[in-house]
Amino acid sequence: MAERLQDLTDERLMGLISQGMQTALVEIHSRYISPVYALTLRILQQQHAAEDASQETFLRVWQKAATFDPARGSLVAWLMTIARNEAIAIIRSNRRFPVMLGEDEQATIDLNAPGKYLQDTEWRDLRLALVNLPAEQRQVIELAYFRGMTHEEIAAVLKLPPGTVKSRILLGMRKLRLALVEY
Amino acid sequence: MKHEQIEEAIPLYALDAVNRREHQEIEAHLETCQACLDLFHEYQQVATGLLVSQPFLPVPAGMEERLLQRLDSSPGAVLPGSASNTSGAIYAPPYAAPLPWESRLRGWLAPQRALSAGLAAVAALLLVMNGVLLWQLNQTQQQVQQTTTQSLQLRNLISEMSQQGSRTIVLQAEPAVAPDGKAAVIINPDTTEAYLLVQSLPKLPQGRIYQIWLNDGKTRISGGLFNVDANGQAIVKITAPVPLGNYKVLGITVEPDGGSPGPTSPRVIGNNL
Repeated sequence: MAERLQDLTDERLMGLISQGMQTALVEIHSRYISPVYALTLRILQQQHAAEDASQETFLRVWQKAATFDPARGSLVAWLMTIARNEAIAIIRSNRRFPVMLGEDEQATIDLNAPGKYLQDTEWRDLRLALVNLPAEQRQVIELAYFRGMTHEEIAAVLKLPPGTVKSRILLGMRKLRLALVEY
Repeated sequence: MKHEQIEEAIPLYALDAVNRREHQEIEAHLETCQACLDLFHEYQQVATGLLVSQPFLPVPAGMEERLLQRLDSSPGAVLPGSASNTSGAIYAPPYAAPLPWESRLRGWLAPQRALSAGLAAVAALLLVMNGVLLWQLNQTQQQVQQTTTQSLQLRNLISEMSQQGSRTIVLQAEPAVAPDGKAAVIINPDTTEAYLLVQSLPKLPQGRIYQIWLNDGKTRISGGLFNVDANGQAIVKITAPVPLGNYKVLGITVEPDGGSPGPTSPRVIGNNL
């Protein structure tokens, strides 16, 4: 009985991609384009730029499939890290790219939105924990991770002492870690 | 930085919020400090969670098609048969499909008993390839140029086949690596030139290329590099330093662009000569 691509594991599909099978890449694309696009859109805030970053992400998967090691983490984690790097690269390559200060983030997060591909209960708890952070802590975490800024760059943009930015990031990250541990 | 400073900076490191100098120091420290490494893994999980916890969003239409177009146009990437690849049957597993190549080959072989079995096999293969070439002629000007080159190669190949002493060897594909791969080599043991014909070999990602190996039982030399076209096909002229009768095995592997001094991956297809 022939196996169907839809029935294959991510790891098996990655093996086929590394052998040059485009249809395996299309299957991975269909599985993960939604979270990849959601992440790149969150970072870039522009549909066309998010589409470009998503496309670059899957091209990287095509080129680097052989380097994926399931022992080091899940495919979705690997994929989303690539997507973040691609989106941040677009921001860094364009100095005029608008820097959102993350103040309206709460309004853009739908806590009840379904997470088709992920262990949603866990991640919803993390989303909830992020939203429940004090605004100044959430803002610096957003700027660091979703805008690719160092703590020094954030301090310059927000006109705050570097030590204050570091403290806010640390406090926020500790709370998020606790949210995951408690889950 | 001291251990305590690094420990405190690990959440920032996991968020990629440290500068380059801090990044290097922390990275070096993590190689020697298990406690900090464990702490980093915990914060790394938080960071990964932030990435994957995005709410579901509808994806704009056409992204899959645009990805396939980019693959087609990327330098080094092999043009796929986009018409079939982007159709509704895109998920049809090519490696599990029936083998029309073999059945058509058998059909064509039957009425050509006057030809030797090897010659008939190659003739049938040429018919298949010529059909594809005709289809390609209706495509872009660039493809017309490519097709013309391939047609010339086919003509040379037919000339080679008619030479006294030429024989055809069908190569065996490794099922785990190239389940659909077909190939034959037309070889004259007294000469230093041969032709390799391949069909349905997987398209390779950018930076990878097929490499031909000739083994005389003691040493292995490179017989050339090639990529396959949209249909996984290629015709490759192999030139050896000594008459091909000296070689016992021909094999093909996937190597980095530019080729390797020796095989670095499992054999894709090959056979004894």
